[in-house]
Amino acid sequence: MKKVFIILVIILVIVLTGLFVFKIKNNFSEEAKAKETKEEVKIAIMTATELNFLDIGQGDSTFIEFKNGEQILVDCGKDAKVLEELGRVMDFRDKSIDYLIVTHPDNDHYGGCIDVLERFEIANVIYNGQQKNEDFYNEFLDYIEKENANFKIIKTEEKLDFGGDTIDFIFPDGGVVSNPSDNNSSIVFILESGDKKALFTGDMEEELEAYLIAKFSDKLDVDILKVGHHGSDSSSSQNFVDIVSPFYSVIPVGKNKYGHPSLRVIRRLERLGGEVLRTDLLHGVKILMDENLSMSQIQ
Amino acid sequence: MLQKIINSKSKTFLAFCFCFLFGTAFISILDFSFDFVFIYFGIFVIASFLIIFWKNKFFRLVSLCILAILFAFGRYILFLPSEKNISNYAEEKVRFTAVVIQEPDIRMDGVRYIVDVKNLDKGVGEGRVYFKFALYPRYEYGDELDVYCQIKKPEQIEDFRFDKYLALKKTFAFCGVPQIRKIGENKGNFLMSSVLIVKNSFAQKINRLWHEPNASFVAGLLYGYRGGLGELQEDFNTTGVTHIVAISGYNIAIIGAIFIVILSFLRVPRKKAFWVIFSGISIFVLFAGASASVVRAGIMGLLVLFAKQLGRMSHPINLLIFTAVAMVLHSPYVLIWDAGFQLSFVATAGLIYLTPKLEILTEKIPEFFGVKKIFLETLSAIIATLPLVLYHFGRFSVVALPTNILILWIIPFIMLMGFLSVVSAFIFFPLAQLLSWITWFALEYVILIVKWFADFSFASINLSVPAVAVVLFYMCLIFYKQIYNFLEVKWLKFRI
Repeated sequence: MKKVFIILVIILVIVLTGLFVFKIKNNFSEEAKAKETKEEVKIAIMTATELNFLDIGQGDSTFIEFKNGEQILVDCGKDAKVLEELGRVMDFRDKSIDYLIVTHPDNDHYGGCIDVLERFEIANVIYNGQQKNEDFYNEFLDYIEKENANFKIIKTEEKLDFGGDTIDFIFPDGGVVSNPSDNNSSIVFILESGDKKALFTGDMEEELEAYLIAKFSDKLDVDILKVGHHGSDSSSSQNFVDIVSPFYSVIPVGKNKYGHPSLRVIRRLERLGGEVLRTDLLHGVKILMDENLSMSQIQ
Repeated sequence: MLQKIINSKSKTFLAFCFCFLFGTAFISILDFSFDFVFIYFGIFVIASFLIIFWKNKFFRLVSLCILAILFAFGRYILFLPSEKNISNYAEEKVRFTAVVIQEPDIRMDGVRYIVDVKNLDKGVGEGRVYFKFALYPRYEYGDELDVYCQIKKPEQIEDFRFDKYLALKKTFAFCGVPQIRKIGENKGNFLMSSVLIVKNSFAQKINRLWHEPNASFVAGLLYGYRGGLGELQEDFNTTGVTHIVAISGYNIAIIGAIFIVILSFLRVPRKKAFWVIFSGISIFVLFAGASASVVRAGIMGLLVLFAKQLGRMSHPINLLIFTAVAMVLHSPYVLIWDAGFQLSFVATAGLIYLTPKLEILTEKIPEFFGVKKIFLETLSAIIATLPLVLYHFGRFSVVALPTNILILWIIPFIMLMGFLSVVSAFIFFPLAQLLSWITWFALEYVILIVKWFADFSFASINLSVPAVAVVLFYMCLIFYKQIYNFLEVKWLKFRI
């Protein structure tokens, strides 16, 4: 009888809590609800904006969590591995992401995006606008539509605000690059938090680097560089690296047959005095954009 | 002993089964084939012998055994690809229409499909084709596809018998890089389609409730899916707990036990309870995909359950061997090439026969919150499966015993809570979230323990044994009494 009693009590507690949650949800008006969620977010406030460079194998994926709790996923790697890595960096109750930025439709950057759209509630999708003639791409568009997310294509330079932090999209800006390849149509943006800056490059190659140097050379000096095209030697030219002069250079890379990352590029970046961090060797890199840019492995 | 076999009808039948299994093992290992005419001829000859020498009991037994072996050969040869099989077009580029005939195997890096060929552009071709494809666009069971690809014949890849792995699924050809276009749907079995629809909606809820790898963990516990476990899979292997996420007799026994608790609470009489549990587990088996391995798990789980809980069975070994024969009849390849098949049989036999023996040995140690029970059951399963594990996987998990003891007690709770979370997700999502968080803590507990033990450098040691050692070990285990007696006699003689 005792056992039965305990089971009944447990069921009762669960039902009551369920009802309680239900009541709270219903009682609040839309406005109060918004407030409530904001307050909830505040509990989770972190001291600094957090960049998580995920170890998703050969590919690219970065999870950004701002001070105000808003979240961005930049690219999704090549397959569903990104889900496992997101599980490592996100709170277990959190199944929504505010922004999904797809820098360009190469498989190693958007191959995992459909799974992300399927599993998470995505409010906004930001895309570079490149059309692609493959089944996966059509499916990708379908899923965005199904998700009911705001779909935005970057055409000109623009800025988004995240509670004081900003993201400044500097490419595509309508200009023409000398070698308009897929890689050179990547979304490029600068994230600014306090006095620290990070540059996200997608798969940008030398030509686009030259173009951006010509246009924004004063803006490009940052603290953290997400190294372009997995550290390939078609990117990160000497000139570009000199101007960017990053403190941390993060190379998102995994096992591959292309010889990424190039030793020459690594040496080039190291000669600047900064530190080169590889997602495969560190099994994911976490950088806090605080005063001293604390870096750690993802736990 | 021979007299015993000859004089008892059930033992004769058992011998017949043994011969059948032996014949299948023999032809599988030597991997030869001959014309079916010889089988007819052989059966005819033996049958005439049988009629002539029916009175002679010894001859009768021998001819029955040979007959069983011939049956085994015949079944094996029938299972081999026919002359029209599409594998005959190996290394040719072909276009064909086909229907997805098995539940797609979704993993992190892509989806594996098995399709049944309907029309081939180059002529006559039938049978199944296996191919790996991108995660999206995704095709479902019953979809009709137009496929263009280069047909290949599977071969052994290093240690992995890829050819046998596919043969287990009755597939003898695979595609290089296929180009696929969907041309139709709902061409599959209606029952299977509806089961998979339910299962998919379950999976969707699970994916919405938990992050990976926890989501795959729950899915693994509930219906054996483990495509998204990622790094956790390796840790599971190292600590010897993979069995919890494969649908095994273990999961079935838990479900059965939960049923028994509920039914005894409702005071349902035993005989009725049997049928309720039986149908409950049948529904579960259907839901989990009703593949051969799940059906096997269902039978094994019921066996263990009834051997332990609902009164004794007189000869579970007979039922065990009979099940083996039925499964081998269905697909002869499982006997030698399916590690899961072998493991589930020896583990079940271990649980039924070894656990009581260990209980007698440890009579004096008191039960402590069910720890002793879990300890003894884990130990007997480990002992029973050890040589097979060493043979197939070439490694031995040192920490399997403590890890299992620390996590097994919470698994029924996770299964129940996980199931309730998913079901309530259909009714009222916030409640499901609440339940899923409770489940999450339990899952994290298991993951924590597993990771902690997997971290030791000595957690698993590489050790491989030859097949002969495996056979010897089981011989010793089966005939331990005779060996013991024999040794005792020798030893006594020596002393005298």
